[in-house]
Amino acid sequence: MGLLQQFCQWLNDTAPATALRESIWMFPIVETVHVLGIALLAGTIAILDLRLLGVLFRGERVTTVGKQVLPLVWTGFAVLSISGVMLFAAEAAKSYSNPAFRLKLALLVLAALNPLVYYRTVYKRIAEWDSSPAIPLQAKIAGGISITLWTAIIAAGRAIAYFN
Amino acid sequence: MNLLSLFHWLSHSAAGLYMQRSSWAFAVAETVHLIALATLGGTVLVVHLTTLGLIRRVPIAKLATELFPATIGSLAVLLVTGVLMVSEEALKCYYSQGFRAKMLALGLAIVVFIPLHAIQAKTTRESAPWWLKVGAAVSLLLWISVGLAGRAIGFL
Repeated sequence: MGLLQQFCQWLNDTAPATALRESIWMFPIVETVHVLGIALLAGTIAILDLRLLGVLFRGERVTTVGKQVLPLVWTGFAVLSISGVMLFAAEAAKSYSNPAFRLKLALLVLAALNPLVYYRTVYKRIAEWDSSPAIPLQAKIAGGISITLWTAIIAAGRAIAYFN
Repeated sequence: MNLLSLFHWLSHSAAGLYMQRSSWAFAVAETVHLIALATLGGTVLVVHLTTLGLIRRVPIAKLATELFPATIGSLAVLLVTGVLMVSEEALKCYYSQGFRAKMLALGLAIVVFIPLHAIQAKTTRESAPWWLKVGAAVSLLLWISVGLAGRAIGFL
């Protein structure tokens, strides 16, 4: 058994994870919070992505739209991380070998890398294109990748239950 | 035609028979339903939380107007995928308390949302008057109830 699998089994067998797994109400409540958290993160970041793609709020600065939605995106990130770790812990042993879960984690890594690249490159020159209708191709690509990845993450997340 | 016979008809319709026979159609409908839920929830949250004054940058009217097509479009997708899912197990839904609660909450949410949106789209003031904030809070709670009741269909 690999180290990662051993860790998943250990986490799975900890007292809090076992309690959550065996609970009648707690698990569905955490799952429901996780589902509603999707709207908070993916539904709001899509608005910024669509601004970058030039679909929505063409008359508003990119930074203005960012300030409008990013507090909600980060709140959603907190809600999803906490509830997600709880759900994973409760089913860690099963999740380890679940292909949909593995795909979801890989997509999440890409979804984290995308803004890192965006903010370190094209965003550094935001002053030049903030209110311009002509958004640099690289920023459009970042928006397109983001909206595609989050859609795929939702689909992969839903599929976890079908592989369990 | 009463409501029960409508559900009977739905389960014997072409869509219902297709959903019942296909092994993956329900999963696809459910996934699309979830993606549309994220879109509707996200747009409704941004407009309503701005109306409540919790976030503010873009004027309320501008947000309401620009995001309206996404909200209505995702609502249409939710309704279509929702009807497809109901057609797979129509009678189970008819007798499900969770489903009945969801339909009630959905009806109320739409009834509140339409006039609320019309007012938000015409708001010229920087901050919304108290009664509009109350409307936004009620609307948010109703949409959240739709989601909660929907999740409950699977558990109850």
